[in-house]
Amino acid sequence: MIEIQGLRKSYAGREILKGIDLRIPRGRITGVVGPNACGKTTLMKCILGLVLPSAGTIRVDGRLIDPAGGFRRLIGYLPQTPSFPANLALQELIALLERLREREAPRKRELLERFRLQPFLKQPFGQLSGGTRQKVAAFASLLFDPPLLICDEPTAGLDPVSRVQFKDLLRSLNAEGKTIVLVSHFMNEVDQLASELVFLAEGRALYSGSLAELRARLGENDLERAIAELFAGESPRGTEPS
Amino acid sequence: MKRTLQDFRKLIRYEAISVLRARWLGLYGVFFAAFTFALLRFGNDPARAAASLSSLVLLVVPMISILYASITWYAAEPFTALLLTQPMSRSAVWLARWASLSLALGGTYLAGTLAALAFEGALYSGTLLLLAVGVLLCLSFVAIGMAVSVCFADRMKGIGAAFALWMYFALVHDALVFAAIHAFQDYPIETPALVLMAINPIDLARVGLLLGLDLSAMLGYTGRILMKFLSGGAGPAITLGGLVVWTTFPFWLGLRRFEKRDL
Amino acid sequence: MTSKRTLSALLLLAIGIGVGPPSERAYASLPPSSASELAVCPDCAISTLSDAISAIAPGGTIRVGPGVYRENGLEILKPLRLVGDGRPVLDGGGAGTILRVRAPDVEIAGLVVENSGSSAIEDRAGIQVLDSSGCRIRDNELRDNHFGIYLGKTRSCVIENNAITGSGRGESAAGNGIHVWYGQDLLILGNALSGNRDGIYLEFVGDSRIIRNRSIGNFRYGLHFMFSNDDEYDGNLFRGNGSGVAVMYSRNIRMTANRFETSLGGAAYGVLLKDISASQLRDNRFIGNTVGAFLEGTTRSRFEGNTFQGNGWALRVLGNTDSNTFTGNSFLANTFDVSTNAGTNLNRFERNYWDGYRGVDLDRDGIGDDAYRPVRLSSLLIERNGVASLLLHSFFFAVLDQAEHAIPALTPETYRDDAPLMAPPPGARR
Repeated sequence: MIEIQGLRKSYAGREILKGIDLRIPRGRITGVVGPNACGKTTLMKCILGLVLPSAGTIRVDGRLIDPAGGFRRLIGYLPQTPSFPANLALQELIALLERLREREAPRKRELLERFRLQPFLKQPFGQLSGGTRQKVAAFASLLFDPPLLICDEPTAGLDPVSRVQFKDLLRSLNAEGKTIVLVSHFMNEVDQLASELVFLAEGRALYSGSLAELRARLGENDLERAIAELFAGESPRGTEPS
Repeated sequence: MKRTLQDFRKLIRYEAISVLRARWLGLYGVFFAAFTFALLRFGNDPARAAASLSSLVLLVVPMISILYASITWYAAEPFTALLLTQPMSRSAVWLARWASLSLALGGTYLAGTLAALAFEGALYSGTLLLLAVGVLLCLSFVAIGMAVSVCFADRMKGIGAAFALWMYFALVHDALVFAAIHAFQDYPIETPALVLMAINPIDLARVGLLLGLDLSAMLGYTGRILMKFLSGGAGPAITLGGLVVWTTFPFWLGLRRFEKRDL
Repeated sequence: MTSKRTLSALLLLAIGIGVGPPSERAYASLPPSSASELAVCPDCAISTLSDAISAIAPGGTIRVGPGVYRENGLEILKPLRLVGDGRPVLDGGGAGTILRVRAPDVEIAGLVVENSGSSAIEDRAGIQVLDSSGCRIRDNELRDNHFGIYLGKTRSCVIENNAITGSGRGESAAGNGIHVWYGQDLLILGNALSGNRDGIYLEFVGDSRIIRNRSIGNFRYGLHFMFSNDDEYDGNLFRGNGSGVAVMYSRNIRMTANRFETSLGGAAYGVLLKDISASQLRDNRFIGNTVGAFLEGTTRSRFEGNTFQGNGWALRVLGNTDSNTFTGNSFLANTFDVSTNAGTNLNRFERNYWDGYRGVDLDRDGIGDDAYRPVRLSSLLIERNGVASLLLHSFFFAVLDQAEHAIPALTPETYRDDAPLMAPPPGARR
C-alpha cells in the first residue's frame, strides 16, 4: 500500500527523519510506535503531503505522491488534536467536504448513527465537547470510505468507554479490508490491534515488519519488553523492507 | 491556475461563513460607524472630521487586519491541515483564507463607515477615497499578516512578528524617514522622501489621503511641490495602485512560502 | 428725489441730442463753445471724447453714447462729468495712458476703458488722476490696462463700483487694479478686482477707507498697504490672491469684518503684517489659507473676534513680534494653530477658543482650567524643514506632539493661552 524509501526530513538544520525505509502492507493494521519526538507525526504528515520531505520517495499504491496530488482521495486522516473552525457546524463541514470531493459522502448516514452525531449537526464546533470533536474527526476521516486510514494518537483524548468503542471500530474497519496506520504510544493498544509494527527512534525505523515475527525473534511475548529490548541499543534488526 | 480557481470556488463559501460569524466583527463595524458618525455630527468642521477619520483608519485598520489575519492563521492551522488532506491545492486554500478575511474585515469597515457617511450625507470624492483606501489597506495588511504567520511555525513568535511589523509601518518607519530628512536637510530630498513614503503602505495611504482630502493644500512650499508631483488625480491613483501592489506582493510571497510549508 | 428727476431730464435731453431728427443733429453738430452739456457718439456731430472734452464748459457734463472710441492720451484739465450711457468702450489701442485727470472735481462714470498697453518706462493706466481732489470714479469697467485706476497725489476722491480686470499676464507683467501714490481721505467702495498684480495698492495713503470691495485672483496681494497710516478697511472679500492683504511699514490700520479666503502656496497668507504697529484686526474670517495671518515685526496690535478656520497654519508669528493681544478669536480645524521661530512669547493670548483644547472646566465659568499651548512640535519641525510635511497626520507626529505636550522640551513654554474658552464666542461659525 505505502512504500517509503530513503525518507529524510530536516527542520531548521535538525534532521528529524534520518533516512527511513519501510512498507505498510495492504489490509493490515500497522502500529507505529516510538518515544516522544521520534518523528512519528512527521512521518505521517509526509505520507499525507502536509510535510514535504527533504529527500526520499513515498509511493502510495505504486504512484509517487506529489503535494497537490489526487492520492489524498485514498487516505482518511485522524489527526492527533482535531480542531474545526469554531463558527462552522458539522452539517456545513459535511457539505464542504462533499463539494471538495465533488460527490456525496457514501457512508454519511451510517457514520452519523455510529458516532451518535445527529444531535450535533447544526451546532457550531465551538460549542462541542472535546470528545464530540474527536468523534467528528473520526467521522470526517471515514466519510468518503478511504481504503487507507491514518490515525495519529486517536484514543489519547478519549474516555475508557469511547476508547473501547474506537478499538472495535478499527477492528471492524480492518475487517472490511481497510489498511490502517495507527500511531500510538499505548503499547497494549498496538498489541491488541496491530499485526504489523514500525518502531521509530531518533529519526530511524529500528524495526519494520510483522509483530508476531518480532515476538518470535526476541522470544519475548510482552510487546513493551520487546520494544524496550530493541531500544536498549541492540543492533537494529529487521529494518529491511520485508 | 484553473484548478486553483475551481477549488477556491468550492471552499470560499465555508471559509467566509466561518470568519463572518465571529461576533466581534459586528462590534468592529459598529465601532467605525459610531466613530464616523460622532466625528461628523459633533465635530467642528467636515474637513477636520475627515482628517481625524483618516488618522483613525490609518491606525486601526492595519493593526486589526494584520493581527487578526495572524491570529486566525494559527487558530485555523489544524483545519488548514484537514483541508490539505483533501484533494485540494494549497494556492486555493491560501486564496480562500485571504479572500474571506479581507471580505470580513474590509466589508465590515466599509459597511460601518459607509453607513455613517451616508446617514450624515457626507459622501463626496474625499470620503469615497477614504473608503477605498481603508479597504485596500485592509486587503494589504491581511496579506502581510498571513505572509508573516506562514514564516513562523511558532504561534507567539508569528503574532509577535506581525505586531512588530505593524509597529514598524505605523511608527518606526516614519521616525526613520524623519531622521533621514533631518540628516540630509541641505540636499534636495523631496523625491527620495516620496520614495520612502511608497515603501510603507500606511504612508502611501496617508499621502494619498492628504492629497485626496485636500489637506496638503495647506502645506506651503513643499506641499505645493508634492502637489505638482502628484497633481490632478495622479496622487490618489498612485496611492490606490501602490496599495494594490502592497497587496499582491505579500500575497504572492506568502503563497510561495505556504506552498513549501510544513504543517 | 430731486437728483433723480434731474438725472432723467438730462437723460432725455441726451437722447434728444444723440438720436434726434437730422435737422436737429445738424444744428447740434456745431460745437458750441462752453456748453454745459454735450453728447458724444460715433455718429454724432461730436464723435470723439477729445473734442467733447475741449468743448465742454468747466463743470459741465459729457454724455457718451454706446460705441467704441479709439482714443488715448485724453487730458482732463477742468472739472467735468464724463458719463457713459450703454457702456461705451474707450479703447486705448495699447499706446499709453487713456484718460488723465489733472483737475479737481472730475467725475468719470459708466465707461469701459481698455487696453492701455504697458511700458517699462512709464506707468500706463486706464484712468489716471494726478494732483487733484474731489474726483469720483464710479461704475466703470477697466480691462487689460497696465494699471486700472491710478491716483497720484490726490485727496478726497471716491472710487466706487468699478470692475477692474488686469491683463492677466502674471505678477511681474501686470500692474495694480487701483494704485494710489500719496492720497488722503479716499473712499474705495464696492469695486471688483481680479487678474491684477495687486488688487488695490496704497502707498503713503492716510485717513482712507476701503469698504466692501471684492478682490479675487490677483497675482500678488488683494490689497497692499505701504507706508500708510490711519486707514480702515472693512467688509471686503479677498479670495484666491497670492496673499489676501499685505500691510507693511504702516501704523494704525483698522481691519474689520473682512474675509480672507484660499490664498495657497509657499508664501501665501490671508493677511501679511510686516513692520506695523497700533493696528486692529476685528471680526475677520480667515478660511482655507496656507497661513491665515503672518506677523513679522508687528507690535502693539489687537486681534479680537477673528475666526481662523481650515488654514494650514492659523497664525505664523515671527520672533520680532511683541506686545500684541489675541483675544476672543476662534481657531477651528486648522492643521496647526500657531507656529513660530521664536523661543519665547512676547504677546498675550487669552480667552480664545481653540478647537484642539482638551481641558475641562470644573467651575463652569466657560474658561478651561488648564492653559492651552497652541504651538505643536510637529509644526516646529515642519517650520525647520518643509519636507517633513510629508509626515503630516502621521502617527509618528501624533506621538511626538503628545510627548512634547507632556514634557515640553522644544516648543516655547510661554506660548500659551492661560484662559482658553470652552466654546467659540457667538458669531464665530459661518
